Formats: sequence, C-alpha cells, structure tokens
Amino acid sequence: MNEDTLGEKVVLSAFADGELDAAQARDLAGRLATDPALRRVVTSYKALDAAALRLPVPELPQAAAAKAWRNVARRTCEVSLADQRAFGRIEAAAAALATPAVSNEAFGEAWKEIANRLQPEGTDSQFPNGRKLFPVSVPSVQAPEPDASQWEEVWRGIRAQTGLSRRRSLPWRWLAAASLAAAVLLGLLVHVSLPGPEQAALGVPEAPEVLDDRYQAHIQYTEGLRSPVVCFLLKDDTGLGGEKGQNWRWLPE
Amino acid sequence: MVEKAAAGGTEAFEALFVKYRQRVFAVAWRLLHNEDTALDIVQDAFVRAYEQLNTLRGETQFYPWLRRIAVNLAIDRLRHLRRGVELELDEERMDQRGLTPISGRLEIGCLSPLAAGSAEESPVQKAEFAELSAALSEALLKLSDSHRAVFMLHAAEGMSYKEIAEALDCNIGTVMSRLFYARKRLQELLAPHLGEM
Repeated sequence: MNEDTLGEKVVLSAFADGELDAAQARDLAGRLATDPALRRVVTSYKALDAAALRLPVPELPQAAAAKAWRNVARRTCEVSLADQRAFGRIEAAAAALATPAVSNEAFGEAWKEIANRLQPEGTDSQFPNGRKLFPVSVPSVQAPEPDASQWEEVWRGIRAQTGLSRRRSLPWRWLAAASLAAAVLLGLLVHVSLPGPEQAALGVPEAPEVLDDRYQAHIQYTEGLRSPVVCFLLKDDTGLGGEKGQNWRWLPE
Repeated sequence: MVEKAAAGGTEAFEALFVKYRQRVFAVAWRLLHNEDTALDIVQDAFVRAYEQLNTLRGETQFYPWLRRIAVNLAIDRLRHLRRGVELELDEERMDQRGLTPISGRLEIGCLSPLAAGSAEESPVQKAEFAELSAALSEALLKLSDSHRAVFMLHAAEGMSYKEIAEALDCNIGTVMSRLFYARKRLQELLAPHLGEM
C-alpha cells in the first residue's frame, strides 16, 4: 500500500463515519459512485461497525449492581466525611472567634446570625445543603493543617463573593486583600483544641490574639463549592464585609 | 437530579447510579473484556463523578461526562494491567453464559450494515451475524489497546472523533489514524470469515 492509497483509505474510513467536511464528503461521494472497489471498502467499514455494535455485553447482575452501589455509597460517604473533617477545622477556628472579645454588638446583625447558630443550636445547625454545621466526626481539633486544595476553595469563594479580582487597581484593595489573606491563614493555622462539638458550642474558647476585634468571620456556603467558606474580614473595610456584606446568604433561615 | 446529588442528596445520586450503571459497565466491559474489572470501573467512575459533581452543569451532560471518566479509568487500568498481571479475559465465562456463539465462516452477503439488528433478519442471517460477532470478539482482543479502544468507542458507543480525542487525550488525526488501522487489522483477522471483503 503506497502513501497515496494509505491516505485515501484513512480518509475513506473517516468518510464512512461521516466525519469529513462537506466538500471532502461531496468529492468522495462522487468517486464512490463510479468506483466499486471504494464502495466495497466503505461497506466493509460499516459492516465492521455494525457487527461491533451488536457484540453482546453481559448484563450487570442485580447482586453485583447492589454490591457496587454499597461500595459507591460507602466510598462517597467517606468523601463527604473527609470534606466535613477538613471543614471541621475551619469551623473550629471560626467557633473560636465566638468569644466575648468579638461581641455581637460589634459585628452587627450578620455576626449575630452566626453566633446564634454556633452557640445555642450547636450540633443541630445546618447549611443550605442540609449538611450539619458541626460534623459529628470532629471530636477534637489539633493544629489545623489546611492543604493547597482547601486554600484554593477558600480563596475562590472569597474572591467570588467579594469581587477582589475586579478591584485590583486600587492599592487599598490590595492591602485589604493582603490583610484578608493573612487573617484567613492565621485563622486556619491557629491552634484550637475542642473537646467535642457540643462543648465547642457551649464552652467558648479564647479568641486567638491575632484575630482580634478588627475582624469578623463569615461562613459562606457557595454554590459549586463542596465545603462552606469561612471568610475573616476586616471590619473597617466596608467594601469587603461589614454592613455591605449583609446580602451574603451564609446561613439558612 | 444531578443538582440534587451535587448538593449531597444520596437518593438522587443513587438514582443516577441506577440509571447509568449498565451503560458505564458496558463501556468498561467493551474496553476491558472482564466483568470484575469492569465492575471496579463502574464503582470508581461513580465515586470520581461524585467527587467532581459540583463542576457539572445540567443532567444532559452527565452521561457523556461520566462515560469520559469511565473511559479514562478503563484505559488507565489497561495500561496498569499490561505492565503487570495479565487481564483474565471473560471468553470462557461468556461461552458458559451463551454470549458468544461458535465461530465459523461467514459469507459477505450478510454483512449489510443496514440489516444489522433489523427485525426482518432471517434466522440464517442472525446465525451468520452471531458467527461474525464471535469472530470479531476474538479479533478485537488481538488489537492493541489503543486501537481497540478507538474502534469500540466509535463503533459500539457511537462517540464522535472529537469525543474520542477528548476522552483519550489525543488529537482527532490520531483518532482517525487509529480507527483506520484498527479496521484494517480487523479485516485481516476476519478475512477467513468475511470472504473477499
């Protein structure tokens, strides 16, 4: 088979599949009309496809399907729990902010909402997707270690909600963003030790020094992100939170 | 349903599993020819889909997306198996379950693609087609993994060149070329059954 013939047959193969553009297809169709050998080649390709289409495929047995689902359910449950555990560390950091030093009055209605949810309702609190605010699988939190993907999610959520990326031209926005990033980082890295969800809800740990009353924490469940996002925002920066942040849907009614 | 599943709805995700499990199994089986491994692929594909559900928009895209995941997993599995333990093919099991009829010579006259699967097919044509299927099953196993994958994804799954290129992470020219060589090889291997095709 020389190169011309080879190329022609490759094109014929594509023609049989209807993958040529209109001009090429027209040209080949004209040649096929007068060339029985070419027609046989195309027919043979289609015949092979037809035979392949009819190759028997075993049915997935019911028992195997049921077992497969059990495995999938178990593994996806593990995925969910892993998400919850990872987020549990962030929640714990946020819960640590619910101290007298970060008073309800100081942080307005939005903060009241969070504090109300965190404290009296404890483990019954839920996010809009029905996931519990305090996963039952977080008995204690020691030295949170957020990984890169967790960071990316947190940042995506923060940027989506605050429009940081659209405001880069203003130097003070940069400063605010840097402060915000530092606050988030410190909030996640802060050493928090909670004996259990119930106690975390009832007992109030001391606020980390770095997250003082200049900051407020926002918990945000963002569509497209599996874990809710905790935003630690500079209270004085009205462009990033505070009163203007009230339109955020952060906790369900 | 996809949105509900993405929001953590186990029932919605189970419904997706029930709806698409056989199709995913078929894709995997066509590439791997092994039920146990295909079943593993079904599980892995759904778990991976669950992990990435929030990147998907709308249910119409769900199956093509899921199939792409399954194809990638199956190809990875093939590569892994080729490096290590050989895959135990299901030929014996298929024979026991009557899935592959005995092979034999097939006349070219029955090979009209238009007649394939037709309700008006005569018993003789059905038998002939069954024989071709058996021969084709054997021939497919003699193709390289990449050639068999392209051929089966196109012929049996109805995927376009573009879809195959995306699933296998190669360009359309490569798909075209692999498909041609797969067909050429199949014609050679099936020559005793196909007469003078």
